[in-house]
Amino acid sequence: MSDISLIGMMSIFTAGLSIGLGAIGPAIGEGLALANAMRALAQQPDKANTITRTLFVGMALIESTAIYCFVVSMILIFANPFWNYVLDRSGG
Amino acid sequence: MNLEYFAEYFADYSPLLTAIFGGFALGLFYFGSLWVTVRQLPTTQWPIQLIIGSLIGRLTIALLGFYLIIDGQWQRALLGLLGFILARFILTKSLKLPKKAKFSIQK
Repeated sequence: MSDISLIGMMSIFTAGLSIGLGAIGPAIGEGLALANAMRALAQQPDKANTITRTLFVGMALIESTAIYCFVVSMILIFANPFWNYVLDRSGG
Repeated sequence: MNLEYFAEYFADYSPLLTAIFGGFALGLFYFGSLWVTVRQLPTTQWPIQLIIGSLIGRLTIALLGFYLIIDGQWQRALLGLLGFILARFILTKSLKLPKKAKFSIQK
């Protein structure tokens, strides 16, 4: 197997692995955050302002971890630096 | 140091600057609509449908936006991510509960 096909194969495999593993953690975290916020809202509806603001800050933190993985896999698929390096070296 | 020099200098780096601004605008949209969604939670009849629908819509637009921002260069992807995180930082800072309000709630 040539170097170029090996790099292409591993890039696509790693991109899928990155977004696949990167979706698990944020999914669990966001589910827990939302479930606890809904429970708190049901118990103390008069403190909805405090709860929703805290929930927003937490969800923004959680969802941006998924965005990191998403950008890494997009770099690997659409703008892979190693792929460009090998193409430049081989003169193609 | 004249204006033409600056224009030339800016032209060299303008793809990177547009990547930062694009990421910033995308982040403002993403986290702004997250804030709108979260604010609807206490009053809505369908909280699960609201959260899932909002997540799918926001992620689709963020995906398309990042695809347009990247444009084949990994540097632009990282700068777009930087603008995105900058928007998150500014929005979470501005929407955090001020300390005075905490005391007035406890009264």
